[in-house]
This record gives sequence, C-alpha cells and structure tokens, in this order.
Amino acid sequence: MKTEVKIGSIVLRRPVMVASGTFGYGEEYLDLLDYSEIGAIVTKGITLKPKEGNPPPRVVETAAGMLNSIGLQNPGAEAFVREKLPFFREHRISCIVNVAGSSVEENVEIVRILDAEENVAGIELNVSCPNVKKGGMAFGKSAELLREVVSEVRKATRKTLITKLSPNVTDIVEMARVAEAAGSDALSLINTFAGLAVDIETRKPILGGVTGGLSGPAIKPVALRMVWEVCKNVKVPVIGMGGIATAGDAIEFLITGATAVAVGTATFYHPNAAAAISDGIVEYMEAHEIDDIADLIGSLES
Amino acid sequence: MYCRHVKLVSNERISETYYRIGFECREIAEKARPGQFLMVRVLEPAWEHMLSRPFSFCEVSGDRIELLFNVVGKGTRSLSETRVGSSLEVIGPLGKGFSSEDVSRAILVGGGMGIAPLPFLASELTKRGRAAMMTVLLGARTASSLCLQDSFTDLGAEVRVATDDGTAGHRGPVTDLLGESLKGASDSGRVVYACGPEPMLRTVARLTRERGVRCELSVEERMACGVGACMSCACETRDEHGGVHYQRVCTEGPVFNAAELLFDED
Ligand SMILES: Cc1cc2nc3c(=O)[nH]c(=O)nc-3n(C[C@H](O)[C@H](O)[C@H](O)COP(=O)(O)OP(=O)(O)OC[C@H]3O[C@@H](n4cnc5c(N)ncnc54)[C@H](O)[C@@H]3O)c2cc1C
Ligand SMILES: Cc1cc2nc3c(=O)[nH]c(=O)nc-3n(C[C@H](O)[C@H](O)[C@H](O)COP(=O)(O)O)c2cc1C
Ligand code: FES
Repeated sequence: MKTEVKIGSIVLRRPVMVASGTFGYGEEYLDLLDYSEIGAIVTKGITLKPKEGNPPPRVVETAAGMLNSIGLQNPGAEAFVREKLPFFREHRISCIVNVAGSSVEENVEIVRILDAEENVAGIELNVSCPNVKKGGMAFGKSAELLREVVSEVRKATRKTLITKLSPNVTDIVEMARVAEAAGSDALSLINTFAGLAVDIETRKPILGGVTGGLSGPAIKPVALRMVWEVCKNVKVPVIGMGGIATAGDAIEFLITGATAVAVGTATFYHPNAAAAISDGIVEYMEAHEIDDIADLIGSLES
Repeated sequence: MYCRHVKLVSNERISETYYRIGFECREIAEKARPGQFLMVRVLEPAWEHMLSRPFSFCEVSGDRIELLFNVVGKGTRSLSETRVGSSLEVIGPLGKGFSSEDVSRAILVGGGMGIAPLPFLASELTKRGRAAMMTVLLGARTASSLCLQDSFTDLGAEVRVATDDGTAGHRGPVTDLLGESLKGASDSGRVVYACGPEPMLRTVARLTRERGVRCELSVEERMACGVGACMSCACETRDEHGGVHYQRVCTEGPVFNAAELLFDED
C-alpha cells in the first residue's frame, strides 16, 4: 500500500503532519506519540529576534474549540537553529519551520538563515497569525502584500515553500491564487479564525491579548469548505487543517482534495491524535481496498 | 511522562464543593514528585469541556494516586460526577515540583484549594526525616471547608488554621500565621512552601523576602497542552539580571522560587 505523498520536494511517508504552534519544537511529545506515524512536524512560528508573546491568559476554551492568543512567543531564528533544530536530525523527522516575521525584510532574513540549514525540510510562511499587531494576518489579508512577501521569500530559498493562508478574508481563493502565482510550492489552510470571549462578571475580554484565534472541531466544516474551494482553483498541493480530530475528519479533507493534513488542537486533549489518525487512514484504505493514497485524494463525487 | 487511561477507584465528596478521587497507575506514581501535576480528562466526549484540566498530586502511595479538587466550572463538575469504575485519561507526571533537599525546617502554607499539593510534599519531607520540624498553615473561608488536617498531624506535623470568618483557628488570612512562624532565628535550612490564591502568594513572597527565607510557590495558569508545546501557560518571571521573561507554568513551573515571580503590584 502506498501512503506516501509529496509536498514540493518533501516526501511524507504518511499524509499526516502536526500543525504549527500545537507541537512546540517537536521534542515535547516524544513520550506520548509514535513519531514514525507522522509525515512531518511543523514548528511553532519563529521570528528573527526572540519574542515574549502576549500577556496571559492566553487560552480560553469555547464550545468544541478554543481561542488562543499566544502572540508568537519564540526564541528567535538563531536560537531555534542552535537549540531546537538538532532534535529533528537525531530523530530523523522532517522539520517544516513556520516563519512569522512582521515585515517582508524580516521574513526574508529568517528564511535566509533557515535556507542554510540541511535539517530544514521546508518553510511554512505564516501570513495568517491573528495574534500579532504587525505583520501576521495583515499579509494574508491583502493580495498586494501577500504577492510581495511570497515572491521575496521565494527568491531567498530553494527549499519547499508553503504559504499558510488565513480564513479571515472574504475570498480565500483569490489569496490562494496569489500565493501560488508568487511561487509557493504548496498551501496550508486554514489558520485560526479571529474571535473574542468576555468574562461577564468583570465585563472584560478574557484573553490578555483581547482577541484570539479559534481552533478545534468547531471550525472543521468551514475549513473543509475552504480547502474544497481552493483545491478546485490551484494546482499546487494543499495541506488541509482545521478541527481534524479523527481519521474520518482527515479522510474528508483528503477526499476533498488536500494532499496531506495537519492535526492541531486535537493533540492537546489527545496527545496521540496525529498517530492514531495516520493509522486510521491506513485502516480505511485497507477496508476500502485503496492501494495508493493518490486514488483517495481529490476523489470527491459531485 | 505517560498518557494512560485509569479506572477511578474512589470518588468522595469531602465538603460542599471539594472532592477527592483516587486511581491506580504504577508508572506515574513511581515517577511523581511533590508539586508536580497531571492533566486529567473525563473520557465521555463533551464538547463543552474538551481540554484536559491540570491537578496537583495530592497524595501518592504505592501505585495509588489521589487528587483533591474544588468544583469551580464545567470540567471539575463533570469530574466530580465521574463514577467509581469509569475511566479517565491522565497525562503525567508534569512540571517541576518542590525541592526537598537541604531542608531543616519546613513551613507549608495552603490557602483554600492550595492545600492540594501539600500532603504529598509533607510525606516526602517526612521520609527525609524532617517531620518533627514541619509546620502546616492552612487557610480557608470557613471551618467546613478545611480538610485533610489529619494527613499532616498523622505525620507528626504541627497544624495551625485560619479562617476568614473565624469559625476555626485564627480569624483572618493564613499569612498572619506565617508572619508569626517566621519570627525568631532564620537559618538557611528553613524553607517556606506555599500554594493558594494570588494575593496569598504575593504576601508569602513579601514576608519571606523581608526575612531572607527560602520560599517556593506553586502557581496556576490556564493550560492547553500541559507539556510545554503550546505556550499557553505563560507566567511573568524575573531573572537574576532583572530581565523579565515569560516562562511556562507547565514546564518551568508550576513551582517557582518566590524571588523569580512578578506579582501584579510589583
Ligand atoms: C499546575 C496546576 C495544578 C492545579 N491543581 C489543582 C488541584 O489540585 N485542585 C484543584 O481543585 N484545582 C487545581 N488547579 C486548578 C484547576 O486546574 C482548575 O480549577 C480547573 O482547570 C477548572 O476547570 P473547570 O472546567 O471546572 O473550570 P472552567 O472555568 O469552566 O474552565 C475553563 C478553562 O479555564 C481553565 N481554568 C480555569 N481555572 C483555572 C485555574 N485556576 N488554573 C488553571 N486553569 C484554569 C480550565 O482548565 C479550562 O481550560 C490547578 C491548576 C494548575 C495550573
Ligand atoms: C495554541 C496555538 C498556537 C498556534 N500557533 C501557530 C503559529 O505559531 N503559526 C501558525 O501558522 N499557526 C499557529 N496555530 C494555528 C494552527 O497551526 C492551525 O492552523 C489551527 O489551529 C487550525 O487547526 P486545528 O483546529 O487542528 O488546531 C496555532 C494554533 C493554536 C491552537
Ligand atoms: S500548557 Fe502548553 S505550554 Fe504550558
């Protein structure tokens, strides 16, 4: 049975990855999950300089989901390369680095640093973080800015470049086309939806960062619809994510056209989720006598 | 660190909103240290409380683990309703616990539910031969919400209590008792351990700082993963050069040296 898929030049043994920001820098879940079941790990977003992030509280649970306002706390690109990257070589697992600079120049500079690193399999350009004042989602909301940042980053690396799109736009297909035309090898979607939660006793927003990004099962149908629309309109592979918690959820994304999927929030309450989903896909293929995952991807009947 | 399904072997209501539950898990019990915690999830799918909740180890002996908790919201409510024999998912042991080296005299301070990690700490200190020199100060709103005093007196510790309404022991905050206990000679082996609401921790930090006494505090923050992967549980800390950084309560904590912590008024 063939479960291998390709995202740019990255070969994934299984079509399941773990989503940025939900799996630290890879090492945190070593005791809790069989890494051989997952195709790649996408790191927490990194910036050029270390970033402290937003004041707490940074998470609040909502119906079938959660809001987070982490604000991209990370040790910076150089410390990442020095302290976090060796883990991926030791454990022979593909590392996709989520890059979240606040300007075009900063993104280019981070990508240059990463481009020199053999252990970086690919770059996921985060133009969709809802929790930072500068950069982040601003890039993902304007076609002009998006074109500029993707094409400049493209010039800075030959590694696989994945652009991660925001759902907080009127027309995600337009953004997907722009990101593809500017040189992305693949697209990741979706990032979180901007949301708000209020403490009715204090009448204040619960999150220290006021608004946060909504993730988890609550967003799955919307994510799936967006993946469906984008897959119909671009040629590059799409990595689908948003509320995936079971193998069935992941298979929905694959049928809809995603070449691979990423598991995010589900890992928090079910640490083994990504591996269990990966196994579940294999079981589904066996049960349905599918020999090659390519026969499943984009097989939506209409 | 392990993720295991465990069967509840006891679930006891010990006051109006306090519950004590017990289960067995050899691997986790063997590794657990006082001050560390578990992420606990009720297994029946319930989308209004999908994330696991953090709880301190209250008592650990042999394979048996006991947790003490207060029902404050939907997650703790559903935990309190879990029947003996049904399963929970637990992840642990997590975080950095209390240090128990070089202690000649220990003062344990628990405010409200902050008592939870103290019985395990007390028995660990006893194993290291410190029982005779242990004082436990417990604060509560009212007499009926005081609990677990036996677990300390059985070890030979002195227990003093304070209640907000004066229905038991000293009337006033438990930190009044700490002020008294800290009078007299201060030696380097004296350690104050505290867990409880933030105003209490702030006062404990101030009192111990003024008297130059070593102090370790267990703090709380909202968590998603509990294992260091999501950066949710940020707590403001100060390093030795005065630099202010966020650290993860689930990984660098939940126990911090009092001197490291920044409280809202600082
Ligand atoms: C390291 C650590 C150890 C703890 N040990 C104990 C213990 O031994 N006994 C005990 O009764 N309580 C303990 N708590 C607090 C306990 O985790 C919360 O009371 C519990 O999560 C509330 O859940 P809920 O669904 O009932 O409340 P809700 O208010 O409905 O919860 C909503 C969300 O907020 C989070 N949350 C709410 N209050 C807290 C809080 N004080 N700290 C962290 N997250 C919170 C919940 O986990 C959940 O994600 C501990 C907290 C931490 C961080
Ligand atoms: C706590 C948290 C932190 C996140 N951090 C990042 C990040 O740094 N960069 C990024 O591109 N996406 C980040 N995301 C978004 C996820 O990668 C994912 O796109 C989103 O959560 C939807 O998937 P899910 O519903 O499976 O979690 C974060 C999500 C969560 C919950
Ligand atoms: S709860 Fe996820 S890092 Fe602490």
